[in-house]
Amino acid sequence: MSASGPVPRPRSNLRPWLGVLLPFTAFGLLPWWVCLTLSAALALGRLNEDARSIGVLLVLLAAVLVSAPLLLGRDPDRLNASGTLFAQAAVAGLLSFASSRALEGGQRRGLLLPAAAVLLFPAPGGLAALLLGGLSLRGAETGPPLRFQRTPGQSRRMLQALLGAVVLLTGGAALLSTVLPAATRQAVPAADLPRAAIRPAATPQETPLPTASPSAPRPVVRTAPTPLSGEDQGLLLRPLVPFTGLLIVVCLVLLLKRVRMKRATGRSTWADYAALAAMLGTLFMLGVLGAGAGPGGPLSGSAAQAAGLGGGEVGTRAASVASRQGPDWLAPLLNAGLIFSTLFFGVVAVYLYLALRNGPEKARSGPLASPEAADPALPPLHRVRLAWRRLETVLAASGLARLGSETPEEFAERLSLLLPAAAADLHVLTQLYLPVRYGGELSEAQATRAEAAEASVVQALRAGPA
Amino acid sequence: MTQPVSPLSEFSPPAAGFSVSDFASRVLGNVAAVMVGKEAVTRLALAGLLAGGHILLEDAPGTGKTMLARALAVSLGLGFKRVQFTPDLLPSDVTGVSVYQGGRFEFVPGPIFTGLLLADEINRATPKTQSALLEAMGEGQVSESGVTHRLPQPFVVVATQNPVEFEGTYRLPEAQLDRFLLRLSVGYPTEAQEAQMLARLQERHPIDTLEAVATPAELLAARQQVRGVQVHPELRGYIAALTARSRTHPQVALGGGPRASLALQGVAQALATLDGRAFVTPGDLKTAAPGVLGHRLSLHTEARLSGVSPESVVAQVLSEVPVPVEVPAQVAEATRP
Repeated sequence: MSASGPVPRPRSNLRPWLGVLLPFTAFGLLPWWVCLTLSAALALGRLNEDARSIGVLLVLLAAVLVSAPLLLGRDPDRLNASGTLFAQAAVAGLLSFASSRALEGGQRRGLLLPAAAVLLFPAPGGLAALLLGGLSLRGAETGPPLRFQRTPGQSRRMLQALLGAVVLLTGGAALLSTVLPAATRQAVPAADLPRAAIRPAATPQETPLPTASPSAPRPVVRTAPTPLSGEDQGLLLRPLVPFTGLLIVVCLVLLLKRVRMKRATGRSTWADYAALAAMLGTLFMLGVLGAGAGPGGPLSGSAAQAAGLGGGEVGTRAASVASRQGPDWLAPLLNAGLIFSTLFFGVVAVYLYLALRNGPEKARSGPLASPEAADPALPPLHRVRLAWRRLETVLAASGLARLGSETPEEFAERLSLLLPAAAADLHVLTQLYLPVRYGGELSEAQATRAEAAEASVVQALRAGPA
Repeated sequence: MTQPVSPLSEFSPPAAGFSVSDFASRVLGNVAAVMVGKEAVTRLALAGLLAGGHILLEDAPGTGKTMLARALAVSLGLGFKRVQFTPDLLPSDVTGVSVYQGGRFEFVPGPIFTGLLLADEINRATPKTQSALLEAMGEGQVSESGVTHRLPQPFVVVATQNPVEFEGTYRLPEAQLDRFLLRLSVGYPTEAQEAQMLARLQERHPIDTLEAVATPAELLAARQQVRGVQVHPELRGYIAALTARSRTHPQVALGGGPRASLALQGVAQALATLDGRAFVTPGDLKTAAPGVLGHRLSLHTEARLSGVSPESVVAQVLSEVPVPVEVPAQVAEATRP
């Protein structure tokens, strides 16, 4: 009689992914690309711890950007134009993060905050995100926490796919947005516009719509941009800002992975830390620039773009102020700088990716570069020490070097978590190495066993660490 | 003049095939019948006894400090006496007193003349009484009226103190703390362990039926074997580096001295013996370091007020000092024909 019980079904990764869409509940408040960036940050945080740190960095950056206008100027219009978007993004990011964590734990309260966001700023995208978030919770209260089920190598592939999708989507949307304004220059009915576009009071660039009844309130609709003029040179900034920002985020992810690898090998990383700081600084400046170049910002030639970007009344007011600010040379200069930044960070991202890809891969697939090859003629004691040394060399080349203060047991324990398939061999090798290194004798058979264990660990490493 | 009170010869020597591993497993198994889920602290305490040291147990009331001391004493077949330290306790209440009888003074030994003395809540006694233990712990003897009385061997002091209550207590001076080989914390059990303990203690306490599984002579023989455990010269350097770093740490006013290095080596040797090894590994030293160094560090006031604990400093020291593992040049040298 077969005693086998029901075979557990493999858990799907779909439900955890649905929770990642929570930032879109703020779709009525934030532009789509901000929601997309927040979603990407949430997804990255679920993929690995480094990315979780990046997510926190992004939120901190947003917080800094909120406070920056307070330092830069006290003009309330400028303050609002540059600060509102990032304040909203920071709040939406934090709430989405908290909600996502609650959903991961199967708690229904994770839906409360997105539901409130949808109630306050209703938008079809937000409703859809809330619905999908609810689906992600379905059945999770009695099940295990929603975490991605990963196999060795899957995490890296998912990360690459996610980053690729984000870059492609944003890049494509950015390219489209440079074309669309010229093609869609026509008045839009009030009913078709987002709620943020409807204003109770007219501004210099707003046109009242004819109404059926003189007594009814007259909704105001913002018109599409007028043909490009010399003042509209800031238009180019708008699609490039998020694209360059995403490139910098990609660079940050890659650089953090590089720092982690270099720290593991005990090499100095001060230059990498400096590069990280420089990238954060650039991202900060880009944020300020993006806020200014966005709808209603001081660099925008047409405040009408506010309708598409969700800048709201604040953006319109800021635009009216901003139209009186900014020298003529500023926008072309910033455009040139932005194009240069985009190209520069694109090249840096490609370089970092190739450097990361080639470094460990070469170590995994290449021959053992150590001159200390196995030699059966050596005494067993030396053979075991050489086996350990070879293993340390190969692991260090793969970014898994032993820390200076780690004992062999601690090192093996840490490795066992990264290479579960090699845990038994690591234990064998460590137990044979300890008496050799710190006092004891070994037999030929034990030395041969140690060398076999070392070979197995290297093989497991080549198969791919978790 | 020295008067031996309890000579070594009163204990029968251990059997010829005596094994420390077997001895340790018997004792640890016996204590585990009383202490649920406290294998790690029991193991360290036994290592301290094997290294010939005294132990300070510091934890909240009701965590099993006294029970651990009693269980160890019973399991090892040691005489056990408990002294509740209070502010009015006099040194002679601990060490003993000379009484005039039949025309001459006769020494009446105090409770310190035993195998394992439990000094309960040691920080409640005055410094004068606390220091009465100094000579006994350091030299294994008691001087009274110009006469030195040898203490029985093995002689172990297990002291307890509460880290929370400070009212009406006298903090142990550094010199006294340095006499303790290890300071250990028993810690609260997990919920499952506590439930298991409740079931085990429902009808009667296991300590009431606990029997000796070893003899004091076996403990002395085990101590001899522990001293023979090999310590690699590089590990001695590692011990010295750890202690030196504890002295130069910016948050430490007074670090570990040479006695701390000796204690570290001794406890590591005992831990290696408990594992059935004849050599010390860096892992033994890392396991021993918090218990050995923690109570020997005196932190600067600023560090103390900012919430830094000696244990966190020890952890930082352990994470900073490099462990001697493989050095390429060494391997090349070792493998050179």
